[in-house]
Amino acid sequence: MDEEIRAHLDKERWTEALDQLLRQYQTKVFHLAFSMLGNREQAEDTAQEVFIRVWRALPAYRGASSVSTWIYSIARNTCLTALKSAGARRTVSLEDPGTRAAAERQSHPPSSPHAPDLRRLVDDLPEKQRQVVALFYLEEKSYEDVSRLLGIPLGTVKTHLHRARKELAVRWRKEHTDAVRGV
Amino acid sequence: MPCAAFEDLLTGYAELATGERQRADAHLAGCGDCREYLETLAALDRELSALYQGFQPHAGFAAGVLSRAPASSKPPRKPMAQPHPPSAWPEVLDFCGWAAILAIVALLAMTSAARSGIALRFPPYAGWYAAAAFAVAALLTLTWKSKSAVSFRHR
Repeated sequence: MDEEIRAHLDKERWTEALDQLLRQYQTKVFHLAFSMLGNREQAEDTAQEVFIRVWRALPAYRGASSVSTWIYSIARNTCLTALKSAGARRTVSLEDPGTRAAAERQSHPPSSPHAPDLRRLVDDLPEKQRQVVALFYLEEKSYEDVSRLLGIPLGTVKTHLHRARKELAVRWRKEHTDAVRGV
Repeated sequence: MPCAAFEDLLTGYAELATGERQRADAHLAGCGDCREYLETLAALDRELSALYQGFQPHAGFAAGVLSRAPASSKPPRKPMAQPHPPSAWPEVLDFCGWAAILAIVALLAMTSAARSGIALRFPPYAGWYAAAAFAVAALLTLTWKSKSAVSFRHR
Protein backbone atom coordinates (compact mmCIF):
# COMPACT_ATOMS: atom_id res chain seq x y z
CA MET A 1 0.00 0.00 0.00
CA ASP A 2 2.81 2.38 0.88
CA GLU A 3 4.35 1.66 -2.54
CA GLU A 4 1.17 2.86 -4.22
CA ILE A 5 1.27 6.06 -2.20
CA ARG A 6 4.94 6.60 -3.02
CA ALA A 7 4.21 6.01 -6.72
CA HIS A 8 1.51 8.70 -6.63
CA LEU A 9 3.88 11.07 -4.87
CA ASP A 10 6.70 10.43 -7.36
CA LYS A 11 4.37 11.38 -10.19
CA GLU A 12 2.98 14.36 -8.27
CA ARG A 13 -0.54 12.92 -8.28
CA TRP A 14 -1.38 14.65 -5.00
CA THR A 15 -5.14 14.08 -4.89
CA GLU A 16 -4.76 10.37 -5.63
CA ALA A 17 -2.09 10.13 -2.94
CA LEU A 18 -4.37 11.84 -0.41
CA ASP A 19 -7.26 9.58 -1.37
CA GLN A 20 -5.08 6.51 -0.80
CA LEU A 21 -3.78 7.87 2.50
CA LEU A 22 -7.31 8.48 3.70
CA ARG A 23 -8.39 4.96 2.84
CA GLN A 24 -5.42 3.47 4.61
CA TYR A 25 -5.00 5.69 7.65
CA GLN A 26 -8.24 7.51 8.48
CA THR A 27 -9.38 5.02 11.11
CA LYS A 28 -6.01 4.83 12.82
CA VAL A 29 -5.60 8.61 12.86
CA PHE A 30 -9.13 8.96 14.23
CA HIS A 31 -8.38 6.40 16.94
CA LEU A 32 -5.17 8.20 17.86
CA ALA A 33 -7.00 11.54 18.02
CA PHE A 34 -9.75 10.05 20.16
CA SER A 35 -7.26 8.48 22.55
CA MET A 36 -5.46 11.81 22.98
CA LEU A 37 -8.47 14.14 23.05
CA GLY A 38 -11.06 11.91 24.70
CA ASN A 39 -13.94 13.42 22.75
CA ARG A 40 -15.46 12.02 19.58
CA GLU A 41 -16.38 15.29 17.87
CA GLN A 42 -13.08 16.94 18.63
CA ALA A 43 -11.26 13.78 17.54
CA GLU A 44 -13.03 13.80 14.18
CA ASP A 45 -12.34 17.49 13.55
CA THR A 46 -8.70 17.08 14.54
CA ALA A 47 -8.29 13.95 12.44
CA GLN A 48 -9.59 15.90 9.43
CA GLU A 49 -7.14 18.69 10.23
CA VAL A 50 -4.37 16.06 10.28
CA PHE A 51 -5.14 15.09 6.69
CA ILE A 52 -5.30 18.73 5.59
CA ARG A 53 -1.80 19.18 7.04
CA VAL A 54 -0.68 15.99 5.33
CA TRP A 55 -2.05 17.33 2.04
CA ARG A 56 -0.07 20.54 2.41
CA ALA A 57 3.08 18.66 3.35
CA LEU A 58 2.91 16.02 0.60
CA PRO A 59 5.52 17.64 -1.68
CA ALA A 60 7.97 17.84 1.23
CA TYR A 61 7.74 14.12 2.02
CA ARG A 62 11.15 12.67 1.18
CA GLY A 63 10.55 9.06 2.16
CA ALA A 64 13.21 9.14 4.89
CA SER A 65 10.73 7.48 7.26
CA SER A 66 7.81 5.19 6.45
CA VAL A 67 4.52 6.80 5.44
CA SER A 68 2.86 5.62 8.66
CA THR A 69 5.61 7.07 10.88
CA TRP A 70 5.34 10.37 9.01
CA ILE A 71 1.54 10.56 9.29
CA TYR A 72 1.42 9.50 12.95
CA SER A 73 3.98 12.16 13.79
CA ILE A 74 1.86 14.84 12.10
CA ALA A 75 -1.22 13.44 13.86
CA ARG A 76 0.37 13.55 17.32
CA ASN A 77 1.55 17.13 16.80
CA THR A 78 -1.87 18.21 15.51
CA CYS A 79 -3.58 16.62 18.52
CA LEU A 80 -1.16 18.33 20.92
CA THR A 81 -1.91 21.67 19.23
CA ALA A 82 -5.64 20.96 19.50
CA LEU A 83 -5.26 20.11 23.18
CA LYS A 84 -3.43 23.36 23.86
CA SER A 85 -5.61 25.65 21.76
CA ALA A 86 -8.93 24.29 22.96
CA GLY A 87 -7.89 24.33 26.57
CA ALA A 88 -8.00 20.57 26.29
CA ARG A 89 -10.49 18.00 27.33
CA ARG A 90 -10.02 18.86 30.99
CA THR A 91 -11.56 22.29 30.35
CA VAL A 92 -14.50 20.66 28.64
CA SER A 93 -14.99 18.45 31.69
CA LEU A 94 -14.76 21.39 34.08
CA GLU A 95 -17.19 23.49 32.07
CA ASP A 96 -19.79 20.82 31.84
CA PRO A 97 -18.85 17.72 33.79
CA GLY A 98 -21.99 15.75 33.15
CA THR A 99 -22.75 16.39 29.51
CA ARG A 100 -20.06 14.36 27.82
CA ALA A 101 -20.28 11.44 30.22
CA ALA A 102 -24.05 11.36 29.82
CA ALA A 103 -23.78 11.43 26.03
CA GLU A 104 -21.19 8.66 26.04
CA ARG A 105 -23.30 6.58 28.44
CA GLN A 106 -26.19 6.85 26.00
CA SER A 107 -24.09 5.37 23.22
CA HIS A 108 -22.54 2.73 25.51
CA PRO A 109 -25.07 1.88 28.22
CA PRO A 110 -23.75 -0.17 31.17
CA SER A 111 -24.18 -3.90 30.66
CA SER A 112 -26.09 -4.29 33.95
CA PRO A 113 -27.76 -1.96 36.48
CA HIS A 114 -24.84 -2.47 38.90
CA ALA A 115 -22.10 -2.16 36.27
CA PRO A 116 -19.74 0.72 37.06
CA ASP A 117 -19.35 3.55 34.57
CA LEU A 118 -16.28 2.21 32.84
CA ARG A 119 -15.79 5.23 30.58
CA ARG A 120 -15.54 7.47 33.62
CA LEU A 121 -13.07 5.11 35.29
CA VAL A 122 -10.89 5.18 32.16
CA ASP A 123 -11.15 8.98 32.00
CA ASP A 124 -9.89 9.20 35.58
CA LEU A 125 -6.67 7.34 34.76
CA PRO A 126 -3.41 9.28 34.33
CA GLU A 127 -3.07 10.78 30.84
CA LYS A 128 -0.69 8.24 29.30
CA GLN A 129 -2.45 5.23 30.79
CA ARG A 130 -5.79 6.53 29.48
CA GLN A 131 -4.37 6.96 25.98
CA VAL A 132 -2.81 3.51 25.97
CA VAL A 133 -5.95 1.77 27.25
CA ALA A 134 -8.18 3.51 24.69
CA LEU A 135 -5.83 2.82 21.79
CA PHE A 136 -5.17 -0.78 22.85
CA TYR A 137 -8.86 -1.65 22.67
CA LEU A 138 -9.56 0.56 19.65
CA GLU A 139 -6.72 -1.16 17.80
CA GLU A 140 -7.98 -4.62 18.69
CA LYS A 141 -5.35 -5.32 21.33
CA SER A 142 -2.28 -4.73 19.21
CA TYR A 143 0.66 -3.58 21.34
CA GLU A 144 2.66 -2.84 18.19
CA ASP A 145 0.02 -0.54 16.74
CA VAL A 146 -0.28 1.37 20.02
CA SER A 147 3.51 1.74 20.13
CA ARG A 148 3.67 3.03 16.54
CA LEU A 149 0.70 5.39 16.91
CA LEU A 150 1.87 6.99 20.15
CA GLY A 151 5.54 6.89 19.15
CA ILE A 152 6.61 5.19 22.39
CA PRO A 153 8.52 1.93 22.96
CA LEU A 154 6.64 -1.37 23.15
CA GLY A 155 7.81 -1.96 26.73
CA THR A 156 6.41 1.41 27.80
CA VAL A 157 3.04 0.51 26.27
CA LYS A 158 2.97 -2.75 28.24
CA THR A 159 3.94 -1.00 31.46
CA HIS A 160 1.20 1.65 31.10
CA LEU A 161 -1.37 -1.01 30.26
CA HIS A 162 -0.34 -3.21 33.17
CA ARG A 163 -0.67 -0.34 35.66
CA ALA A 164 -3.97 0.78 34.14
CA ARG A 165 -5.43 -2.74 34.39
CA LYS A 166 -4.46 -3.00 38.03
CA GLU A 167 -5.97 0.39 38.81
CA LEU A 168 -9.15 -0.24 36.82
CA ALA A 169 -9.67 -3.69 38.32
CA VAL A 170 -9.48 -2.36 41.87
CA ARG A 171 -11.79 0.61 41.22
CA TRP A 172 -14.21 -1.40 39.10
CA ARG A 173 -14.51 -4.08 41.76
CA LYS A 174 -15.01 -1.47 44.48
CA GLU A 175 -17.71 0.45 42.57
CA HIS A 176 -19.47 -2.77 41.65
CA THR A 177 -19.53 -3.89 45.28
CA ASP A 178 -20.73 -0.46 46.43
CA ALA A 179 -23.52 -0.51 43.82
CA VAL A 180 -24.73 -3.97 44.89
CA ARG A 181 -24.77 -2.88 48.55
CA GLY A 182 -26.60 0.30 47.58
CA VAL A 183 -23.93 2.63 49.01
CA MET B 1 -7.88 -7.91 47.04
CA PRO B 2 -5.42 -10.33 45.44
CA CYS B 3 -2.30 -11.54 47.24
CA ALA B 4 0.43 -8.90 46.83
CA ALA B 5 2.94 -11.51 45.64
CA PHE B 6 0.65 -12.60 42.79
CA GLU B 7 -1.04 -9.34 41.79
CA ASP B 8 1.41 -8.47 39.01
CA LEU B 9 1.54 -12.04 37.76
CA LEU B 10 -2.25 -12.26 37.56
CA THR B 11 -2.60 -8.84 35.90
CA GLY B 12 -0.57 -10.17 32.98
CA TYR B 13 -2.09 -13.67 33.19
CA ALA B 14 -3.10 -13.88 29.51
CA GLU B 15 0.50 -13.46 28.37
CA LEU B 16 2.30 -15.62 30.91
CA ALA B 17 4.86 -18.16 29.75
CA THR B 18 4.14 -21.82 30.54
CA GLY B 19 6.20 -21.96 33.75
CA GLU B 20 4.72 -18.76 35.16
CA ARG B 21 1.22 -19.85 34.17
CA GLN B 22 1.66 -23.13 36.10
CA ARG B 23 2.84 -21.21 39.17
CA ALA B 24 -0.15 -18.86 38.95
CA ASP B 25 -2.60 -21.74 38.42
CA ALA B 26 -1.22 -23.60 41.42
CA HIS B 27 -1.81 -20.52 43.57
CA LEU B 28 -5.26 -19.84 42.09
CA ALA B 29 -6.40 -23.36 42.96
CA GLY B 30 -6.19 -22.48 46.64
CA CYS B 31 -6.87 -18.72 46.74
CA GLY B 32 -10.40 -17.35 46.35
CA ASP B 33 -9.36 -13.68 46.45
CA CYS B 34 -6.95 -14.14 43.57
CA ARG B 35 -9.55 -16.10 41.56
CA GLU B 36 -11.97 -13.24 42.10
CA TYR B 37 -9.31 -10.73 40.97
CA LEU B 38 -8.66 -12.74 37.82
CA GLU B 39 -12.38 -12.92 37.07
CA THR B 40 -12.63 -9.15 37.53
CA LEU B 41 -9.76 -8.64 35.08
CA ALA B 42 -11.43 -10.90 32.52
CA ALA B 43 -14.76 -9.08 32.90
CA LEU B 44 -12.98 -5.75 32.64
CA ASP B 45 -11.30 -6.88 29.42
CA ARG B 46 -14.66 -7.88 27.92
CA GLU B 47 -16.27 -4.59 28.94
CA LEU B 48 -13.42 -2.51 27.53
CA SER B 49 -13.53 -4.44 24.25
CA ALA B 50 -17.27 -3.76 24.01
CA LEU B 51 -16.82 -0.10 24.95
CA TYR B 52 -14.44 0.61 22.07
CA GLN B 53 -15.81 -1.85 19.52
CA GLY B 54 -16.62 -0.53 16.05
CA PHE B 55 -15.43 2.95 16.88
CA GLN B 56 -15.06 4.41 13.40
CA PRO B 57 -14.96 7.93 11.97
CA HIS B 58 -18.15 9.33 10.50
CA ALA B 59 -19.12 8.01 7.04
CA GLY B 60 -18.49 11.39 5.41
CA PHE B 61 -15.04 11.79 6.96
CA ALA B 62 -12.94 11.19 3.82
CA ALA B 63 -15.28 13.18 1.59
CA GLY B 64 -15.02 16.07 4.05
CA VAL B 65 -11.24 16.07 3.87
CA LEU B 66 -11.17 15.75 0.07
CA SER B 67 -13.55 18.66 -0.30
CA ARG B 68 -11.54 20.83 2.11
CA ALA B 69 -8.03 19.90 0.97
CA PRO B 70 -7.84 21.51 -2.50
CA ALA B 71 -9.64 24.61 -1.26
CA SER B 72 -7.59 24.95 1.89
CA SER B 73 -4.50 26.15 0.08
CA LYS B 74 -2.97 26.39 -3.33
CA PRO B 75 -2.15 22.97 -4.80
CA PRO B 76 1.02 21.68 -3.19
CA ARG B 77 4.19 22.60 -4.93
CA LYS B 78 7.67 21.22 -4.93
CA PRO B 79 9.87 23.03 -2.42
CA MET B 80 11.76 26.04 -3.75
CA ALA B 81 14.85 25.26 -5.81
CA GLN B 82 18.20 25.85 -4.19
CA PRO B 83 19.74 29.24 -4.90
CA HIS B 84 22.41 29.53 -7.58
CA PRO B 85 25.95 28.63 -6.51
CA PRO B 86 28.08 31.65 -5.70
CA SER B 87 29.84 33.28 -8.65
CA ALA B 88 33.66 33.61 -8.75
CA TRP B 89 33.45 37.05 -10.31
CA PRO B 90 33.19 39.16 -7.14
CA GLU B 91 36.37 37.54 -5.81
CA VAL B 92 38.21 38.05 -9.10
CA LEU B 93 37.17 41.69 -9.21
CA ASP B 94 38.21 42.02 -5.57
CA PHE B 95 41.63 40.60 -6.42
CA CYS B 96 42.01 42.96 -9.42
CA GLY B 97 41.02 45.92 -7.23
CA TRP B 98 43.70 45.16 -4.65
CA ALA B 99 46.29 44.57 -7.40
CA ALA B 100 45.43 47.95 -8.94
CA ILE B 101 45.79 49.68 -5.55
CA LEU B 102 49.20 48.05 -5.02
CA ALA B 103 50.32 49.07 -8.55
CA ILE B 104 49.25 52.71 -7.95
CA VAL B 105 51.06 52.79 -4.59
CA ALA B 106 54.21 51.37 -6.24
CA LEU B 107 53.96 53.89 -9.11
CA LEU B 108 53.56 56.81 -6.68
CA ALA B 109 56.55 55.59 -4.65
CA MET B 110 58.68 55.34 -7.80
CA THR B 111 57.61 58.84 -8.99
CA SER B 112 58.32 60.31 -5.57
CA ALA B 113 61.74 58.65 -5.50
CA ALA B 114 62.58 59.96 -9.01
CA ARG B 115 61.64 63.54 -7.98
CA SER B 116 63.83 63.26 -4.90
CA GLY B 117 66.76 62.31 -7.11
CA ILE B 118 66.96 58.75 -5.85
CA ALA B 119 68.04 56.46 -8.62
CA LEU B 120 66.07 53.20 -8.51
CA ARG B 121 67.81 50.09 -9.72
CA PHE B 122 65.77 47.01 -10.60
CA PRO B 123 67.20 43.56 -11.25
CA PRO B 124 66.95 42.28 -14.82
CA TYR B 125 63.49 40.96 -15.85
CA ALA B 126 61.87 42.50 -12.69
CA GLY B 127 58.77 43.42 -14.72
CA TRP B 128 58.40 39.83 -15.95
CA TYR B 129 58.71 38.49 -12.42
CA ALA B 130 55.99 40.90 -11.18
CA ALA B 131 53.69 39.92 -14.05
CA ALA B 132 54.24 36.20 -13.34
CA ALA B 133 53.48 36.67 -9.60
CA PHE B 134 50.30 38.55 -10.53
CA ALA B 135 49.20 35.74 -12.87
CA VAL B 136 49.87 32.99 -10.27
CA ALA B 137 47.92 34.91 -7.61
CA ALA B 138 44.99 35.37 -10.03
CA LEU B 139 45.05 31.66 -10.95
CA LEU B 140 45.03 30.58 -7.29
CA THR B 141 42.09 32.88 -6.54
CA LEU B 142 40.08 31.47 -9.45
CA THR B 143 40.85 27.83 -8.54
CA TRP B 144 39.82 28.34 -4.91
CA LYS B 145 36.58 30.05 -5.87
CA SER B 146 35.58 27.40 -8.42
CA LYS B 147 36.12 24.66 -5.79
CA SER B 148 33.83 26.53 -3.38
CA ALA B 149 31.15 26.72 -6.07
CA VAL B 150 31.36 22.93 -6.77
CA SER B 151 31.11 22.03 -3.08
CA PHE B 152 28.07 24.30 -2.76
CA ARG B 153 26.35 22.46 -5.63
CA HIS B 154 26.89 19.09 -3.92
CA ARG B 155 25.46 20.15 -0.55
